[in-house]
Amino acid sequence: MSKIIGFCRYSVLTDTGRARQIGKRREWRAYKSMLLNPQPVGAALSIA
Amino acid sequence: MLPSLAGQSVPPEPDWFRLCVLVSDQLPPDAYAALSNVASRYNWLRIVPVSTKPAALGKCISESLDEFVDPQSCFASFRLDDDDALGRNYLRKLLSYTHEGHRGHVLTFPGGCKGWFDHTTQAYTRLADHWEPKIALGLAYVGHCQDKIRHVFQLGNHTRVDEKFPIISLPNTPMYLRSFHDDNDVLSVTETDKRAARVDRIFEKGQPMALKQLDEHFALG
Repeated sequence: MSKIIGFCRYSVLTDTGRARQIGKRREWRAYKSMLLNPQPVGAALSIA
Repeated sequence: MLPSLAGQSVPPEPDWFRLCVLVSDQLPPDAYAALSNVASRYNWLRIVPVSTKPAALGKCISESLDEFVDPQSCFASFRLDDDDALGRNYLRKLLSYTHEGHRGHVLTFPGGCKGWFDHTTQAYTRLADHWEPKIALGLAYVGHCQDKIRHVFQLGNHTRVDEKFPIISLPNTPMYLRSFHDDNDVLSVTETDKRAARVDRIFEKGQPMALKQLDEHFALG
């Protein structure tokens, strides 16, 4: 079977809004990712 | 997003499927631990910390490829946001196009849905169809390790990808669920009335769909 690889940029919620924390240094106040809630697709909101 | 992958009509297995979740190496330890906990449920998921140094993203993606794919065979890479989902037959369709005959081709799935996710009720409360050729969501590339362009993030701006690459449009609908919610990048306006108007405009561009259709097309857990 052929191989398939997916890439997902993990997004977060900061004091400046939703951001993809790739390659950038930011102050973290909170984070959020739909990955954290298995059902339904988008749900989790976790405040650090 | 993860349930929609786990619930594919061709169940993903770690010997042929991998999802790399790219995170910043600045992720706080508790957030990383929470993510790791989720990741442990899926044996095909890898967390890939990305340095804050320039060009680190490309290097991490390249290393992820080298670690997983067969250097002598074609493979497909695709992109997906963490608040979106893919249709139940996405991987099945992708597999059928991942071979030498389509090496160097971009695959786009223009047909999908958009849903409004309400954080208060933790549920989708609005659904409409969505048509967007070359949409980044689910965009895929049939690559080969011997080629200069190997993966989907090397294609440049997804809206202009057809200017440089042969493209295959697979209009199976709906193949993706694009989520809109209060934290969307595209809704980054502070005034409540303007946000509401913008949301209305987005959804009025598509035909309304019944919410019960979500389960039909997507495995949402």
